[in-house]
Amino acid sequence: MNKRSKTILMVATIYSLVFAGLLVNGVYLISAEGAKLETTKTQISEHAAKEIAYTRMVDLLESTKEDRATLQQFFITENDTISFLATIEDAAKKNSIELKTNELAVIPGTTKDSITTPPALAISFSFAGSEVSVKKFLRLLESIPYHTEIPKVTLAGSGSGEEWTGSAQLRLTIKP
Amino acid sequence: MIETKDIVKMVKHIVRHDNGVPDTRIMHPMREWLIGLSGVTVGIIGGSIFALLVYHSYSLSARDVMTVAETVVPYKAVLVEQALDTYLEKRRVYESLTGVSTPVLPQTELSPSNTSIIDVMATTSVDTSVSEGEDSLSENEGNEGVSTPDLAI
Repeated sequence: MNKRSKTILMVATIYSLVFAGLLVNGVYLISAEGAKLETTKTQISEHAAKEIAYTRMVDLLESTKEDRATLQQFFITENDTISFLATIEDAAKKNSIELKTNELAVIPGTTKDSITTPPALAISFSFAGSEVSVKKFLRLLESIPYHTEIPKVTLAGSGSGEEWTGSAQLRLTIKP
Repeated sequence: MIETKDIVKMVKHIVRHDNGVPDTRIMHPMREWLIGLSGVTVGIIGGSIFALLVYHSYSLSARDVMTVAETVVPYKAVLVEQALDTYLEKRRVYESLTGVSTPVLPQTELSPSNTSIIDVMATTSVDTSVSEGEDSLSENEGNEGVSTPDLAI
């Protein structure tokens, strides 16, 4: 092999190596960009899903604003407990009922087994009055326009001429 | 007519070169040139096929519809309606009994933390080429655009 042949062989080898390297690099770049494409595609999809969810949430909040505002009115707040009690006492007085508040306590909210129970206002009354007044007062307690339950009611009295006595427990859900 | 033995003879002639004299030449320009051309041709064709396959693969992949988990907040409109009806009726009865409007309650501001939200995971198909998805909540129809919700009531 003469010198010229050696030179040609060397140049050819260098060219081959260089172009093989470029080719491998190109394939690697395509592969890397492909992986990036998949990642980006996933991110775009997640972003689009979040955007849709956000839009729906905003629409939902806007469209239900009025209903939620009305619903809020049916929950008492902790600050309103005293004025609420005063209103009940006032209503009892108007109905000629002798009312005595035995208990007024705020029961804190609890979370058990991922079920959240909101705080509640527990009130216990004992009352006395005529049959009509007592029944009207009980009807009034039933109709309190707040999220409420009456766990216990006792009544004593049989005749219309007698004084009826009773007690009632109220449990109002406090707006968390 | 050329028979098998003739072909064998020709091949032997080519292989042996010069009547049995071994070929001492290292370089055979024509042969190497043809081998080189063949290699390049095979490389170009193979590379083209590979490039086409890669292009096709990524084109399909880019058009693919991705399936992602979407958080859906359900709103029980019927339940809300029922609750409103019930409590409005209670309020009406209360007001008729007492002769006064509903007691207490100055309205407090509703903050995001006050809202009770139940998250339910649902799988939804999201096409990345579509900017807005189909709205499944009937309450949401007719609203366009995204703005920060005003939670204060």
